[in-house]
Amino acid sequence: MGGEGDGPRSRRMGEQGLPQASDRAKVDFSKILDEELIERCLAGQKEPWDEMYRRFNRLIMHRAQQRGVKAYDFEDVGQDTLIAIVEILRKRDFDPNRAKLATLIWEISDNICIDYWRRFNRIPTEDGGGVVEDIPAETASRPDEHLERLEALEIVRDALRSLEAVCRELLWLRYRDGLSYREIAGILEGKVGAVRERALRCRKSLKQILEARGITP
Amino acid sequence: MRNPNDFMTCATIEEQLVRDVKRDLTREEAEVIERHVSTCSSCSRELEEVKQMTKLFDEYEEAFCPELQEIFDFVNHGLDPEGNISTHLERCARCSETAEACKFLPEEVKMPENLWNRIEQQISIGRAVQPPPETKGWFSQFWQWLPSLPRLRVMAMATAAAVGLLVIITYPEPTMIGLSSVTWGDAGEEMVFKSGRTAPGRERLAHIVTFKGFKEPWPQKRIDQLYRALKPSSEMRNRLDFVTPAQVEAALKGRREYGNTSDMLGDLRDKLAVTKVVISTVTLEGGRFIVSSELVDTQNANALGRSSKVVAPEAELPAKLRDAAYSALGEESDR
Repeated sequence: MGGEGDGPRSRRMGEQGLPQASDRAKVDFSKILDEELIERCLAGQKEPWDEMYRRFNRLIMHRAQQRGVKAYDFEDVGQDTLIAIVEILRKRDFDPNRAKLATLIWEISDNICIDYWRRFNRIPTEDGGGVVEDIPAETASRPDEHLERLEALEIVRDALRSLEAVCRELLWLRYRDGLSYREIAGILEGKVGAVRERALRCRKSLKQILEARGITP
Repeated sequence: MRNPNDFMTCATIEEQLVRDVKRDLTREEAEVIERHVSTCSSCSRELEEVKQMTKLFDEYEEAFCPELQEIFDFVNHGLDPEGNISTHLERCARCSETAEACKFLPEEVKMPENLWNRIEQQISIGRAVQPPPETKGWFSQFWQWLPSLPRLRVMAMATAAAVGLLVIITYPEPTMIGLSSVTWGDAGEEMVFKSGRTAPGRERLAHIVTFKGFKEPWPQKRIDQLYRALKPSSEMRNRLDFVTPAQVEAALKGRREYGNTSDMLGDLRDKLAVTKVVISTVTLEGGRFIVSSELVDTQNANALGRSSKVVAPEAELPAKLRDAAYSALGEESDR
């Protein structure tokens, strides 16, 4: 009893959540969702942590590279991020129903990257401490300015998302890529006049939404 | 005489306004636009609108980008309900890079063993500190029994004691420097350097071993063992100067605690002309030893390299410490 072929018992275990050593061999970790992966990780098995590593290690390395962390520290940033994740998951400070694991890992690795960057870019001062020089671009502004920008970015993002997809497309092509109406009409296979009219309407809608939320372009 | 281009219609001008704002026109084309706009109120208003939009999108370009999770789900699960993400990835270099980074590593990849050791330890610490079930013990019974006036006095004394205790338990445990009189002598030969100047362009290095989380000093015998393990190979000695642990001990005058690492580095720099120090740390955490090393410049205390943190069984401490130290130095440990 209790072997691999023991169906009823296996089902009971599954109902209770996870994870059980007896059904470990059957699990394809690459297919399981974040929620389940977290529960299996917290049970202390190695395989789900291997999966966590496989899923997110590239992302963490990418962030470290963006943040100007030295290449020989990438592995440490990766390790420290996962250790921080253990703490957060263990304390149940993260609810996978309300937020996403990739986003959490991105944010945690970002904080760790900044710590590493600061640590290795200190100029010693007379009091024996140090000051940080040349913070990488994304943190160059003062913290309050950085926060203000993030808030404004969210408003612009929401405003764009509230427009129709075709409007976003038109605005991108016109004002980001700098294309003429004729070129846009060629891409979207429409008439130049209609494209122009639509683009102007989209621009007006966007401005109205932004102004209602306190942003004047 | 007016340029024939000056007679361009407003529609033609409007077509070029974005390129004008983005400074994508020739000087002649830009001058034509400028002249037209200065005399045409409609195109002048349109130019302002174009400037505002272009500035907005330059400043908040990422507002067009999908959320990280959307890219992640598209890359790994093919989710793209409105078909916008695939289109966006084709034209946004930043998101395209992020999409690459979202790809899972191949299935055969496993995490490094030392990382798993750290995770396992972290999870087990969590289990060890689960609070016990609440019970009504002798203290609450005693408290109920006390009459109210003595209860206040007891509370005052307990508060004073708690403050005292807090001061004791929150005082950080100091990092101890382990010093040793090991000379790395080899078959009667002693590696002793004069504390003079090193040859130009040649680095002079010192090893320092520190201890964190230890309640009592480690036996000197064990510390010597660690320093013996750090002996550089002859190949390394051909390229780099190393001062011996004995010389370091003499230079620091046996001082085992420094409030400030810069002071210690300053002593090594001034007294032994050391240019770089490999500080290797043994941390006792949750009953396990964790070793890590850092290469530090004595001029400015900047860290130049670090090893990974590795959990080491007690018996393997010397070997693991050597690996860490030479990894921080960017060398093979050559054991």
